[in-house]
Amino acid sequence: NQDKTDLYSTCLEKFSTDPLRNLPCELQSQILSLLDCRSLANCRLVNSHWLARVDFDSHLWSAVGLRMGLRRRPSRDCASDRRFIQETAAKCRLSCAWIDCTEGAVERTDSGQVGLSPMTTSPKLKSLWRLVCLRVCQVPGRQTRLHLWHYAPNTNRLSEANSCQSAQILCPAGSVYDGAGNEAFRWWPGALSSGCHVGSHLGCLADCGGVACAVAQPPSRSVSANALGAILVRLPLAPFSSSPTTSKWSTLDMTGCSGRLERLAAIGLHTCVSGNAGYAGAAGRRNSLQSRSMLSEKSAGSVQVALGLTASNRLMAWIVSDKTSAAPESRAPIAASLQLSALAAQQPHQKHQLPSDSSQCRLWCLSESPGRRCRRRNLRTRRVSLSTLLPTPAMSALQSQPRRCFVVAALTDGTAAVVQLHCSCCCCGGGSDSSIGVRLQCVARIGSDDQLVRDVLPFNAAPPPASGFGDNEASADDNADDTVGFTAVMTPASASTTEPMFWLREFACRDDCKPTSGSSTATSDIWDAWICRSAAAYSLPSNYERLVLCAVGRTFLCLFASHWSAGAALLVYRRAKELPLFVVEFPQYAQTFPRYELHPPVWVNQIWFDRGITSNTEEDIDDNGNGAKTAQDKDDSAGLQPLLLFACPMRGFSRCLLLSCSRLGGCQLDNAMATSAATTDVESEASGGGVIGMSRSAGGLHLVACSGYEFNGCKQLSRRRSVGLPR
Amino acid sequence: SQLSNQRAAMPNIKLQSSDNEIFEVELEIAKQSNTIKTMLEDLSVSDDSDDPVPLPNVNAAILKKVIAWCTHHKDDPPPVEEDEYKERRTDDIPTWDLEFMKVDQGTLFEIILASNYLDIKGLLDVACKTVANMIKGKSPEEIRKTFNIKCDFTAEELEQVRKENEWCEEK
Repeated sequence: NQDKTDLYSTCLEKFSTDPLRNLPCELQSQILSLLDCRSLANCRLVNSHWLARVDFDSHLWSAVGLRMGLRRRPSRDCASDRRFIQETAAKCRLSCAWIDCTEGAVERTDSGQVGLSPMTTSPKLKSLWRLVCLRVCQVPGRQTRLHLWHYAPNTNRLSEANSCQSAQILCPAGSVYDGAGNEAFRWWPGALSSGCHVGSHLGCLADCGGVACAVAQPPSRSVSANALGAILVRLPLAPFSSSPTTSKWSTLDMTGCSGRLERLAAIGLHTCVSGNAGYAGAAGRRNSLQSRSMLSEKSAGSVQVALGLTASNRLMAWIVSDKTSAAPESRAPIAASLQLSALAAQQPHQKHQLPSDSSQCRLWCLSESPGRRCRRRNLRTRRVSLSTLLPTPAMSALQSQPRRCFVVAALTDGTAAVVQLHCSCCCCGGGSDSSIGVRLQCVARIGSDDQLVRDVLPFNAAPPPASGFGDNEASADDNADDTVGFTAVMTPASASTTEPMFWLREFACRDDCKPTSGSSTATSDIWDAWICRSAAAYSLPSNYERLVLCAVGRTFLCLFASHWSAGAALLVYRRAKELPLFVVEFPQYAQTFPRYELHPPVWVNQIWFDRGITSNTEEDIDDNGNGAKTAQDKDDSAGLQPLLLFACPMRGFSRCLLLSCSRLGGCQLDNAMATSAATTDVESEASGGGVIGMSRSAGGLHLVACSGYEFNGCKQLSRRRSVGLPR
Repeated sequence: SQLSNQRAAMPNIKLQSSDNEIFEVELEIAKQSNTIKTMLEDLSVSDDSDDPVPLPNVNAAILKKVIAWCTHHKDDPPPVEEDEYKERRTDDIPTWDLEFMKVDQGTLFEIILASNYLDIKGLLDVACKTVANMIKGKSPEEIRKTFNIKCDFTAEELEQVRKENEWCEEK
């Protein structure tokens, strides 16, 4: 007691108020450096002394920046450090919340006209021309805005439909108001949303502080500012107990869902269009207009699948069907929930048939991490690489893809979680009595090979032409080489200097390994069964650190790689060959790719890529000195070169990189451009530009781009010459 | 008994607090303080010297606490240098240290000052983490209340800082 009294007598007075202030600066720094960004922000609000202490500590902000993974070296200018971190963090977050609805709206008409020329077609076709883009744009130092663009067929122009100020977007409790002043939807900065397809829903799913809001626009209605953003479903997330319904969405089945959505970190949305027998097999060989005409006449409708992964590794699938004309008897019972951990017991091949007499929104809890659960703390505080894989928009527009593979991946310090959802859209019946069904198969992998995994990159799992899909069961031969997915993993740089730093691991599925319905296979077994051909490693240049798997076909696969100092490169591989077929480098873009992610490249029809074009001579292949690996290839496809043509807009920058990499000079964007790698900048005046859609037809390449705050019009890059492009 | 014999054989050193109180501690325990260690080397103080080492910046009450901490941690391995740009945890304080740091704020900050002066890295780390934990997860108002701080912001200034803070919300 005496000691305690002594302590009080000596210490109490000196540290009675604001004790931190009485410490030397270096000790204040040491304490503040232990705080996370959020706590530092709170410290700034304590009083003016604390504000100054936090703001003008250069070392502190440098450390914060580096802890956040920013590459810039610390400077001596604390103000610029803080500003830099502030801007970068905002941009990083915006890139997470980037809403990019990209869909090629460019279609070829019967008369052969291409692009966004004035339409004189039927009203039915006009409805196909709706184009919507929802986008968050930000320019440093200016206010952030949410832009919603929609294409108005009558004016042949894109119009801005909605916007809001940055404070509202960034504020968790903020609201977005439509033009009439009504609350449209609340937006959460961590949410990622996808947009709208031609003739389909606009949808997004946002975590609004305990409420998930599904926002959708039925395709039957015209896009209007007032209707866009209307909340169709409000879903209380803590806990999943009630099942609210609205007049528009008949059922929101949450039975069996438990727990709380802590973070809706990614969401994807895609339309799975189903068709009747024989239709899908012709995908890619017919132009999109014909396909859509068939759809409008015969198809059963569409199903959209949106995915979200929560902080606790719960994969949520949000499925919307717009089917409105089906026989009542085709209605099937709705599965209450789908728990991944008990997936096998719940029949992984089970077909979930949606009621077809009304639009439907269902939220399924797909994944609860079985066993080793990612630590919540890590998921919250550490960088989480999380993405949802969407089929490339151009492909979606140009060919029917009834089968989709979605992958959601999360990464924590020591644990990686990868969940794959294989979604098939089934058509039952025919004509007006047809109905839509959704078949879901999930595989999950949580926690293995974690020590080596640094990043799990998204990929586009492009299914091959699904011949026979209309029979609901593709043959084993057709699916023998189905690529389920690719996962690019980066090994630690310290592993070995002689080892390649990057590995691309190919996962493939084999039909005869698929778990059968009713089996009691555990989740891990399911995964193993699906990964029948793994660890087919591809050697990747070590000087690139960001990889995007651009396209995958039966014969070729293509990576887009970038590095802040090395620039960008396009790596094209022949499947199962370790070394790249050729590498097209763009060192001039070294400063253009520093920290910001690329949009998923917009590709032309996949079949052009995969079928390739015949190389006449070996010199044609190697004219850039980038390797002529095909000389040793003895297989039938040895002489084939993939036709590359894609647009790759960059987030956070105004430039859109448009590449035409036909090795034989097939499609040139400009006469002055090289045949091997043509580039052009599109709408470089404003920030945040992006390619909305791209299409290629006999007339050439057509690119629809918008940029930044103002829509700068649709730019058509059209060439009459079309040489060597397979039809 | 063998251990006690060894202990008895260990040389001791006298430390004099700012209020002239003398503490006799084992040399190895005292040498956890780099300041004392350097002083002994620079001054060539022999093990059997009776002259106390003056510590004018540490009072007796705090010096007693510091000696208690050093005594408990005398067998600890030397602290390793951490990457200053690596995120450091604050929830890894050992249980004994947690109990040790359950003192009033004044004492806690005096311990920080003393450990800084005596250059005892381990103690300084634990004390700083304790203070950081008092800040983490608290709202500005709670921080003010914890440390008895008066807010001198005007409403407009507060709003301005809040706006500036938006960028790190929910990151």
